Amino acid sequence: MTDRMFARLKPDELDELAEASYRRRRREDLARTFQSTRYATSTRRAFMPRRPMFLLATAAVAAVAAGAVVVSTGVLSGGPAGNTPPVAADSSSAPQSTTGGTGASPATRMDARSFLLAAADTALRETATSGEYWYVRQRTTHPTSHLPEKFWTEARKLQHQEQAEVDKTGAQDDELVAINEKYNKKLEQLRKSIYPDGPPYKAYVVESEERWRPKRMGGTHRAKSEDRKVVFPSPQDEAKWKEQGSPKLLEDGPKSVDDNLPRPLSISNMDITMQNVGELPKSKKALAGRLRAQFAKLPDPHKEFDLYLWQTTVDLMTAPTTPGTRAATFQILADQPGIISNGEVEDAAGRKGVSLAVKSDDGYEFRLIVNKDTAELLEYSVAEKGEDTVRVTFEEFGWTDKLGRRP
Amino acid sequence: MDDPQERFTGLYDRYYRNVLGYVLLRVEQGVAEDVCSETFLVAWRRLDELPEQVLPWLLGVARNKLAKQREVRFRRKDLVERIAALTSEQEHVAWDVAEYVVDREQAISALRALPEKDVEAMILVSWYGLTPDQAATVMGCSARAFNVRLHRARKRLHGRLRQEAGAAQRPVRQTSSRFAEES
Repeated sequence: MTDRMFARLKPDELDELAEASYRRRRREDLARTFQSTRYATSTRRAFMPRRPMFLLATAAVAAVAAGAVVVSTGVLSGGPAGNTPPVAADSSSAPQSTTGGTGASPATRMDARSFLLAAADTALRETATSGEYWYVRQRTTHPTSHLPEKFWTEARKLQHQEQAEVDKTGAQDDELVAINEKYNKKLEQLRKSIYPDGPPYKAYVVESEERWRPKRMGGTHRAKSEDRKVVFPSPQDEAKWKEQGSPKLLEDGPKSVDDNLPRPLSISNMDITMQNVGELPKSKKALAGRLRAQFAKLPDPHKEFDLYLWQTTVDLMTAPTTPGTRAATFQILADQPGIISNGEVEDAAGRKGVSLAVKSDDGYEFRLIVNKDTAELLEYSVAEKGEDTVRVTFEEFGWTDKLGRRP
Repeated sequence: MDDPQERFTGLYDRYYRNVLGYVLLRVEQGVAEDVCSETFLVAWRRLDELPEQVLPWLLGVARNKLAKQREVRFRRKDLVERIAALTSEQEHVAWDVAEYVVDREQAISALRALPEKDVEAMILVSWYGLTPDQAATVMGCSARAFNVRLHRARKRLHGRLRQEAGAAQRPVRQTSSRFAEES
């Protein structure tokens, strides 16, 4: 009885103020948070000093840091061994790996530019469509690994030390980042000390995902995970894994999740939503201006425009943007000196497309494969020091009017 | 599927208002928002080790952050004064407490007589729906200590409310308030 009286003492204004703050701060808070390093310690995620920001594959990209993994024949390609060139092999043998980031040879530069300008024209010829749900089906491949309990015990110790240091220092952003970087280095050393010669075996998680994004604000969003499995590049890797006691390599996750949380379409562009993505500028100049302004606002001190643009391209090309916006995006990309072409390749589904790549200052290479005939994005991948870390293949996207139904 | 950013966004959307509300009981809005953002930043950095019950954990982090800010350290009265200040005129309605009727002002006056930690204990259980175990985590004490505190808080509050009601010499009656107690 006293409790019920007390419950009613909660001032209404508290909820009103909280709601107002929530609405005002959400976008900025999320953007700022996602720019900061995450201290991942789950058994299949590890530490990455700096990670690209993808909406769709962050878990995968984070998982990658678990270890240096060399891509072996056929695994990432998804096709019969040797049938399609593995991405990592591309980067170690293709000429662009010796030309470096912005110093691309004139020939590959020209290829990328002319291809992108042609893709812009192609994109413009497509007709704008609409529906209730934007559907995307993708297949993701990323390395997985297991670290022994010894590692996690030590990692937890480091983590407590870090927390203590953070608490002592206060909550200034700069200090937080410096402390975080320091401990990320320590963790990296710890990880290396566990497997000085690299992990004893290689393994990948391959999984499909279907996603329905509601056009209507507050509509139901569904993400459905399917066909998750662990793949070993060779029988030797699998034997080694068994020798280690067959540790669990696949996290249990829900198969299908429905909710109605508002979601941004692009982490680097928190203001782009399902409601306004169709209203983005259709001219190169206007879109470039908007993206430049957004880039200027990003708080990341290590930000690189090439990289931001690459991420934004992936987000826009897999979202219900208008043909005009897609064309403008290709035109903006065409002007970037850092983007090079690796010529015609096959994606993991065996579809032909033109490969485009950009390198970051810290040794990552980001790749896109674009369909020549439709200018659609077929696949993107990220490689670190020539080794593939994630590969996402877009098998289908388009509008549908019913949740759970494909276009 | 299990995208960290989505998972975090889910937590943020679900709990931001709760955490901010709790912090707002201690500091004004601008500072409260900063404390709240920092709290969620910690959650992001600890995303893989969050306990199953996230709200008590978040409130605990927020509480620690508040405690570390010397300028927002508050005296016992402040918590109740914040409640009083946040209360609007329309909320000044009457309740029946056992055979007595008290209004909001009297209720707040009764709260003033309680140790702050008692009030906080009741807030965590009553406003945030935390179990004693969870609330103990937030307040950094054992579940046993928390239960003792909560029990004492209820008893004291009940006693104070009787006094308040008695002091106002309200007649015993069946209330017509829409907030009437059923018991």
